[in-house]
Amino acid sequence: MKIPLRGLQLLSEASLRGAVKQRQTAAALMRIALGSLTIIFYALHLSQRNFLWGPGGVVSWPDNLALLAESRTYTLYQFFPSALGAGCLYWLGLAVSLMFTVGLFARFSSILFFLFTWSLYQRNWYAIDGGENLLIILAFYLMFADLSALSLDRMLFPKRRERSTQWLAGMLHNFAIIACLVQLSILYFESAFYKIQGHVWANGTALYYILRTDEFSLPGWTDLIWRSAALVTMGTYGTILFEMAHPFLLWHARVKWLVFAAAVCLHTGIGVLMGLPWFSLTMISAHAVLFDDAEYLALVQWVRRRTQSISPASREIGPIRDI
Amino acid sequence: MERPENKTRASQPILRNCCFVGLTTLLVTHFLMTLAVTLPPTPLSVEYSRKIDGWIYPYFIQNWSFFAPDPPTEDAYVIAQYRYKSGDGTIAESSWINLSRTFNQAVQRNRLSPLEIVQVTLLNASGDLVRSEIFKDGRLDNDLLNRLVATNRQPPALHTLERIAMSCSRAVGIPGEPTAVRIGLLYHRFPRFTRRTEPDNPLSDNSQIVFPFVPFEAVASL
Repeated sequence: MKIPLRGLQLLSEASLRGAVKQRQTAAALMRIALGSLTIIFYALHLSQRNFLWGPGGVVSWPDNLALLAESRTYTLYQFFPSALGAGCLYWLGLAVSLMFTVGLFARFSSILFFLFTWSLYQRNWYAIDGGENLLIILAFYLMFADLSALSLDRMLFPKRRERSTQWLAGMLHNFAIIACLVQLSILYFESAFYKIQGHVWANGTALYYILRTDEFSLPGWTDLIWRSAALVTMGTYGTILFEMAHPFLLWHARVKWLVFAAAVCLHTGIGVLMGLPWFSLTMISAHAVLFDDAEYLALVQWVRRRTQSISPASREIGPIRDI
Repeated sequence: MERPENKTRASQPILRNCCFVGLTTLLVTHFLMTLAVTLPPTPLSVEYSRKIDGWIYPYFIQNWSFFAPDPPTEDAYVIAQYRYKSGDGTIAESSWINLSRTFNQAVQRNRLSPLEIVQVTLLNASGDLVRSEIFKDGRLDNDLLNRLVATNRQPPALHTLERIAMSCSRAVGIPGEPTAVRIGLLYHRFPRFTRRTEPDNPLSDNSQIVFPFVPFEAVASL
């Protein structure tokens, strides 16, 4: 009888801990970063919107309907088959992304954000890359998270009603955060898993073939890398090592900073050299989930101390205080 | 008699524990399903493939095998040729125009170029086309393609590439009114790693797949 009771006690403790919201700052930073990227995406393609997502655009209307039926999905654009309707949806999508980013009616805008972003991607599935694929999956999980930290909601409605189901909201939030972390782990795990099976990844020359392709090269820079056997080997093995270690080390409190720094370096390189800046920014943004609230607070305090110690004002004030 | 709020308070830990167990089960199941579709097929994932697909599609479709297991060993370009009515009323054909190269160069000049999305579209659609039913063992099945075109059931990826070419007709400087367009896939094999310092001749080691002409459609301009 003792063991079931002990098990029940452990479960109660775990569920109690699981109901207290964790990593609210991380969730808010992801909201801001992913929302900002989507705003930039909308703004950047404003003049191309008819070509990319309009009814007379690159993916014809019958083709789009056939692809939607094949993948058993939908897009809001299918219900508005006119240029005016598609244009209105585009502007609404931009407005929703703005609401989501600033955190206005955060819970509601997170659902709308998923719906509009999903619809945009489904209207032209060919136009999205791995970054947008990750963004939409994370947006799905974030619908269940509490995104009210660093938001307009906190400024406009500072007093929130305490509800009896507060624990359920906390639990959903925490599971959404864990889902984001596991998703990130799976991404790097799968990437490494397939790479170690490749012949050119094993012999350390894969980076040469990638940088040699026209789409992923930057003339004058990438040829400097692929001409050097040392850089190609280090880049190839470095990528595999990072991707293999990432899913395991990101759970470790002390080395996750290193994981984050390595991810920033790798994705900056991919963004600049291979011409995938939006993919890279999405990947870096997703890493915001690695750190908890106390770590963000410590970071802010550290930055404040550094800026105070080096600002001219503090240097002038210092001696006067001493006197 | 027990007061209602006391009853709620007493039942809350049980409800909380049940929710915790339920959510944990859901999370574990979800990510096991995700692993099952992202990793190579196993006897287990094949046996439950319908259930797994039902869970994953459409919201959690994902593929993270970037450049793996083998990165490309050749450049794949989408090329286009236009048939147009010239000034004197005769029908002429343009030379082949490398659309992919044009967009690649635009993105190489400006990493934040809005044309990057067109480059991605070309890349994804051409990849999808090569994986479509009209290719068997890497070769184009012309009979099947003609049958599909005749019944207006050509692969969406091919139609998308054709529509990109149609929207670019003005930008690439077609000197008359375009009446038809056809696209092709040009492959250029670049030197192996051990021969990387040797000069690369863009006109050698090439292979080409050409699709039939299709009538010009009105497409929103790029």
